[in-house]
Amino acid sequence: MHQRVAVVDDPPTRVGSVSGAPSARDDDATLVALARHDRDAFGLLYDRYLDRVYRYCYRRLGSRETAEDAASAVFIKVLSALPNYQERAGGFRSWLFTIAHNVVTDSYRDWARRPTAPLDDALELIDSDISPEEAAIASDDRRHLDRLIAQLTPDQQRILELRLAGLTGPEIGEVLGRTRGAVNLAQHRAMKRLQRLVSRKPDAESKKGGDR
Amino acid sequence: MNPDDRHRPVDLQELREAEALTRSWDAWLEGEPDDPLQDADGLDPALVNFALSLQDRDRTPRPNSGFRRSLKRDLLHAYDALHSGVAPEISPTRATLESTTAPFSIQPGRSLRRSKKSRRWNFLPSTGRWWPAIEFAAAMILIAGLLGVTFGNARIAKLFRDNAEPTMIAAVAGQPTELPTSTPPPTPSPTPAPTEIPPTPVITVTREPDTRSVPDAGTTAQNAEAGNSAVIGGSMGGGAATAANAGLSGVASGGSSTELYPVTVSSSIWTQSFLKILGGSFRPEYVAASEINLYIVGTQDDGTYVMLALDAATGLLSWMSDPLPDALAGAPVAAEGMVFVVTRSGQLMAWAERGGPLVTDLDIGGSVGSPPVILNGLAYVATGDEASPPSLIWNGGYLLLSGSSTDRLVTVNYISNETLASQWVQPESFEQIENAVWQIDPDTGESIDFWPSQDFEHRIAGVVALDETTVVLPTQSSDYAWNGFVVLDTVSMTALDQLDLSGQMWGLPVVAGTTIYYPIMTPDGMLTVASYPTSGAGTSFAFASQEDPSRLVVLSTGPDSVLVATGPSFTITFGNGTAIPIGVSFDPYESVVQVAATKSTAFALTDTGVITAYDILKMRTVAGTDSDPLPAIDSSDQ
Repeated sequence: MHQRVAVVDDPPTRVGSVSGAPSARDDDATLVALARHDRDAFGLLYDRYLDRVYRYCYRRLGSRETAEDAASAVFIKVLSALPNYQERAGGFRSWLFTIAHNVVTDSYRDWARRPTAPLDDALELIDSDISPEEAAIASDDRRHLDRLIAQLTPDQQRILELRLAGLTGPEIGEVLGRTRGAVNLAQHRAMKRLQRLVSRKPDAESKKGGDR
Repeated sequence: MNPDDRHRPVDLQELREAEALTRSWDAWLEGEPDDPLQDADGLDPALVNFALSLQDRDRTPRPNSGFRRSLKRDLLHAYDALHSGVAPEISPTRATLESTTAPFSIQPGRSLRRSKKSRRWNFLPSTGRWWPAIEFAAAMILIAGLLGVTFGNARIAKLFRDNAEPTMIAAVAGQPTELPTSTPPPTPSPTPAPTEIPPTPVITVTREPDTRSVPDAGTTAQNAEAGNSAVIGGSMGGGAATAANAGLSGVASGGSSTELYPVTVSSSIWTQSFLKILGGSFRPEYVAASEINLYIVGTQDDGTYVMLALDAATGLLSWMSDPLPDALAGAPVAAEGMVFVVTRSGQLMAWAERGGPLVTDLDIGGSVGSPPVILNGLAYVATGDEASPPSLIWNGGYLLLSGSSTDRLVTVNYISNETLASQWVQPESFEQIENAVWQIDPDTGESIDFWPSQDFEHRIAGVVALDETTVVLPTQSSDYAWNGFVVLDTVSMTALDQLDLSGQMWGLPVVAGTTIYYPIMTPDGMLTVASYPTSGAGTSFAFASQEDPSRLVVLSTGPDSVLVATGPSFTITFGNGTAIPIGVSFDPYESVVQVAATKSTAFALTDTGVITAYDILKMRTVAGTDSDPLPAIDSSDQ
C-alpha cells in the first residue's frame, strides 16, 4: 500500500517556501525519506525537480536532445542511489545537482569525441507548448543572455548556471567543491561583469564579439 | 577568461560586497525577506536587483510534456521493479518510440544490455570479400618479421630494423601512462649553464649520479613514517593540520654532461584518470600518499563518498572502499601498515594498506574536526561540539588538542576494534575553558598543561607542528577580517611569537623548516610566507589564482621543500628561496586542485580528473642547477 503525501510544488524561481512555513530543505528531506518506499513520493520529487535539472542541463549542453539524455541519466542515477542517500550539509538539492553536474561533465567528454550539430531551433518550435511567436521572442532573449554568459569565465558560468537552477551559495559550493568565499567572489565578479555587458549597446557588443 | 578579473587584486571591500550579494540572493531564493535589499548592507542596490532579475530573464526552455510524461512513466516503472525484487537493468538507451525526444526505455525484469559489437573482421575470410585476406597477409608478414628479430634471422630482421636507436628516458616506472616512454634523441648543449625555465618547460638538466642523502625522517608529525603529508584544499575546517617534515634534504649534484628535454617528461612517472578507473567522474576532496598507495577520498556520480587506493608505483587501482557514511574530518592517515579515516560524524574506519580489507569500523560518538593520531596500535580521536570540533596532533611526545575543556579524547584499540577510553580534556569540576591548547599524556589521556588563550583576542582555528617542541596556531578574529598565527613553545607552553594579517584565511598553514606558508588572501596577494622568528612581519606572494583562491594547494614535502600548486601551474618551491616551475602543461581549463607527496614522489590531481605522479628527486636535480628565484623574503611590513 502506498503512502500518500501532499507536497505543493514550489514556484519555478524561488525555491523556498514563505516565511513561517517549513523550509524547502525540510520539505525535501521529508519527501526524500518517503520516496525511498513510496513511488508517489518519488513521482513528486521528480515533478519538483525535473524542470530545474532539465534547464540546468540545457544551459550547459545547449540542445534539447542532449538535455533530455542528461536529465534522464540524472534521474536514473537518483533512482538507483536513493536507497543509499544520506542527508548532507547541502541537503538533497546539492546532492541532486552534484549528480547533474557530473552527468553534464561526462556528456562534455562524449561530445568531445563525437561532435554533433544540434537541431534545437526546429525542435523547439515543434515541441514547445507556446506559440511560434512567443517561442521566437523567448529564443532571442535566451540567445542574448547566453551570449553574455558565454563571456564569463568557465567558473563563473558554472556558478551562474547553478544559481539560475535555484541553488543557494552554500549549495553551489557543495556541488562544485569550492569554498563559500570562492563562490561568493566568482559570483560577485560575474554579476558585475554581466551588468557592465548589459549596459552596453547591443550593436557595440556584437561588433566586439566579446572581450574574453 | 577575462584578463581584468584574473589579475585584479582582491580587496576586503569586494569580499564584503560578494558576501552581501550571496546573502541577499540566498534570502530571496529561500523566500525571505520580502525586500532583498534589506540584507544587502553596503552593496549597490542596482547590482542586487540585476542579479535577481536574471532569473526572470532566463528563457531556457522547459522540457516538453511528452518527454516529461514518458520519463516519469519509465522511472516509476523502474521504481516498481526495483521494489518488487526484480531489479531491472537500467541502460541509457534512447527509445525509438513516441518521439525523438523520448527518454530511456526501461522495462522491469528485462535487460536492455546492448548487443555485442560485431567484430571488425574474422580471423580467416569466409565470404567473398577480398580485403580481409590482405589484412591477414600483412599481419602474417609482420609476425614473420618479429620472429626474425627475436630468433635471429638477420635477413628478415634487417627489413624491420631502424638504424636510429631510440633513447629511452631513464627508469620511468609506469603503467598506465599517456606520456611518451621515450624521448627524441637528446640535443647536446654547448654549455652546462642554466637556462631560463619559463615560459617553456624545456630546461637544461645535468645528469650525474645523485649524491643526495635522504636521512631518516626526524619527524614530529603524524604520517611521518610513511612520508605522508597533509593537503590543504580550499576550505577551512578540513583539519588536515599535520605537517609532514618527512625528511628530504641534501643538495643536488653538479654534472658533466648536459641534455635538453622537457622536465614534464623527465619527472613524470605515470598518469591516470578517474574516467579510466571508475568509468565516470569523481570529485576528490582529500588526498594522502604513502610509499604503497595514493589515497583519494571523494564523491562519485551519485554523491556517495568512497576512498580509492591507487598503487603509488603504477597508478593502477589497488582497491576501493565501500561507500563511506559521511564526509571526512581530514585527510586519510597512513600509518602502521593501515590507512585510517574518521568522518565528521565520528566514524573511525581503517583498512590494511595492502589488499584493502576493512579492519576497523567504530562509532566514536561526537563530532570530529581533524584526522586521528595513530600510535603503537592505538588511534586517538578528539571529539567535541559540532559547531567547532577540536583539532588533534602528535608533537614532542604528547598529544596537543586545540579546543575547549568540554572536548573529549577517545582512545581506540584499532586492532580489537574497541574503545578503551573516552575522557574529558579537563575534569568537569574545572572552570570551563574555551579556546585553549591542551597538552595530553597519551598513556593516561590526562591533560598535563595548557595554554590559556582566552587572554588572546582571536580564536584558535587549529594546530600545526613546526618542529618537535614548537607548533603554529592559526588565529582568526571574530569578524574574520584578521588572521594570523601564534608560534607556541610546547615545552614551556608559552607563546613565542605572533603575526596578524589583514585578509581572509583559506586554509591552515603549511610549515617547512622555519618557513610558514599561510594561504591568506590579502589585498596584495594570496599566499603569505613568513620566516620564523617572524619579526612581526610576513611577506605576501601572489601565487594563487586571484579568480579562485580555493585552488591554492600547498604541501610540505620535507624540512626544506614545499610543493605549491595553483591554477594551471604547478610549482615546487624550496625553503632556500628558489622556485622551480616544473612545467606541467595543462589545458586552459584544467587546474591542479590537490597535491600529495611522499619522500620521493609528488602526486597532482587536476579538476578534470587526471592524476599524475612526479619524481621529486628529479625535480630536485633540476633545482640544483636551474632555478627561478622567488621574490626575497624580507622583513618589511605589508
